[in-house]
Amino acid sequence: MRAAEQTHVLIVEDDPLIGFDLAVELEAAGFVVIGVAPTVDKALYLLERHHCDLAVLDVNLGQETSAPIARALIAADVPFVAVTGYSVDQCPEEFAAAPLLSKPFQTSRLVAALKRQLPR
Amino acid sequence: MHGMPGASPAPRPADDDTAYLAAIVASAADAILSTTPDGVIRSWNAACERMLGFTAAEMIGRPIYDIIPPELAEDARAIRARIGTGDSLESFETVRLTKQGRPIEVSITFSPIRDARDAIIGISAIIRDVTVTKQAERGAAMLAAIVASSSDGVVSKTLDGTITSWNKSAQRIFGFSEDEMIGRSIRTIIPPERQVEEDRILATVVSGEIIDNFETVRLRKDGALIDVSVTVSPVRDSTGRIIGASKIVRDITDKRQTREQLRTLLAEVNHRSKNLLSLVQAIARQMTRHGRPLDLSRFLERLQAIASNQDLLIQNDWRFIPLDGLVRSQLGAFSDLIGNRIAVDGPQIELTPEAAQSIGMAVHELATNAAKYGALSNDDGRITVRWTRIDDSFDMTWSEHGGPEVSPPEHIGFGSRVIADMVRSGLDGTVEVQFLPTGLCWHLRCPLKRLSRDRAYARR
Repeated sequence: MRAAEQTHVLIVEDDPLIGFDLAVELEAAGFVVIGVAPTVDKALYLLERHHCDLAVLDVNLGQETSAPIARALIAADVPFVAVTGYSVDQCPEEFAAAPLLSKPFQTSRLVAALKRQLPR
Repeated sequence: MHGMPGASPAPRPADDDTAYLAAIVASAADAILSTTPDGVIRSWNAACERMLGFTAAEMIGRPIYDIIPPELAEDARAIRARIGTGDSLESFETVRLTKQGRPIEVSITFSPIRDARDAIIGISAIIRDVTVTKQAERGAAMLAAIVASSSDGVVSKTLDGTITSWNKSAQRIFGFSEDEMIGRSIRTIIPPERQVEEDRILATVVSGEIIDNFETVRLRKDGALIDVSVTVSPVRDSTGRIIGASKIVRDITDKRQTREQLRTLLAEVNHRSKNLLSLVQAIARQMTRHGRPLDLSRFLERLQAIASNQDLLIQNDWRFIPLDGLVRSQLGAFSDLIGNRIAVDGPQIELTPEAAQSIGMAVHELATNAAKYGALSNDDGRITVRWTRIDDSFDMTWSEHGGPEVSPPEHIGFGSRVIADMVRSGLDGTVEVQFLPTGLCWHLRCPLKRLSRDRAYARR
């Protein structure tokens, strides 16, 4: 079963075009994207209904931060990579242990960072 | 009649006594003169000469009015009339003229001079120059007025921290009145965890140093903490000994807040500009997928579309974009056709910046496509852009008529993905694109709450 071997990724990104771009790029890199969530609510909704191995979190979601999503992922033992336009010291503490990619970044760097998070 | 100061007719005392008294008057530090009841000068001691510049020889026999400013002559006459009836007048503050005509401020004590039969035969005047005292008093009054009216809190304290003065602005800043604070310790306005600061401040003051614009936190009467800048200087007595400290306090809460806002704003600018670069990167990446070469002019048009969105966002303080304005702006050069070949119709909706980007990009792509292949590529094609909201859902249609016959595109390009996939995932909605023979029809339906934070549309 090929599907079982595939890695399911949640993308949290409030910018529709960037979210769309990430989804296309990660699918091209072989990941299964379970959804692009622009809000905390939508992300938590997707996490409840889908199997998730990895996540990409944009730290700032316009009116809110993705800290509650990070807490839910930590609780569920799902590794994630944070992406942000802010500097590192401006990120909430939930992101302290996660790899952080500063925007803009090359897809290859994101893919590499995600793969490092997977259990070998 | 002779020029001896203080001399009077029919002296009673022995000649020795007279000479003795005369000598006292002559050498007195205060200016002493005497006149007849009608104001003719009869004696003028050495101190008079020092103070007013006239010698005794010049003044004896002259009217006293020679040294009185003309405008005060009337008052002087009234006073002398009173003394003439037996009153005396102590420390009367007035002005007299020197030989050079310079007015000096003086304090005069007038007394009647009586003869052996108690008849008033003259008036004595002891004049003290109070110019310096007066100037000092005025200077002090001026300083006091400056302190009282200063917009900074000005406080003085002894070396053990007991407050000795507390101006109006200190009252405004801290909420404590002057009555409440005089005699109390300055530590009253220092938060518990900062009490050690006062030890340092006092130690610095005792060493004669000034503490300049020390930014710290102090306690208001109502318990609130406020940001202040404090300057503390030692206060010395006339011998130079440090006897206390003056403290100037400025409320810098506003300044601190402004600084924090600026920092937040800069972080926001950092975040937004990097996001924008990511967006540019995403467009370039999606336009060049599968090895397609970058169509530079289309790329730049898309950047222009994003820039237009940003202009609209800034006009509304980065809070929302009105849908109507967004559609007009993204129609770009074709907005001239609105009301003619293009019908735009729908209720007022304030879009979130993210929703505006999805819909704005879609409208931009649809307009570009219409100009190339659709209803705007000939002279009489028409477009209807219409949106409605029904309860919690939003419905938007772009439909073209009267253009050249339409067929589905051969490959799915960036534009096709923007108007379908991106809008669908960005707005959590459904998108239908139909290539009808009469023209393209794009239909979006999504939850209203994905579009707008406006309370009127928010879900209950």
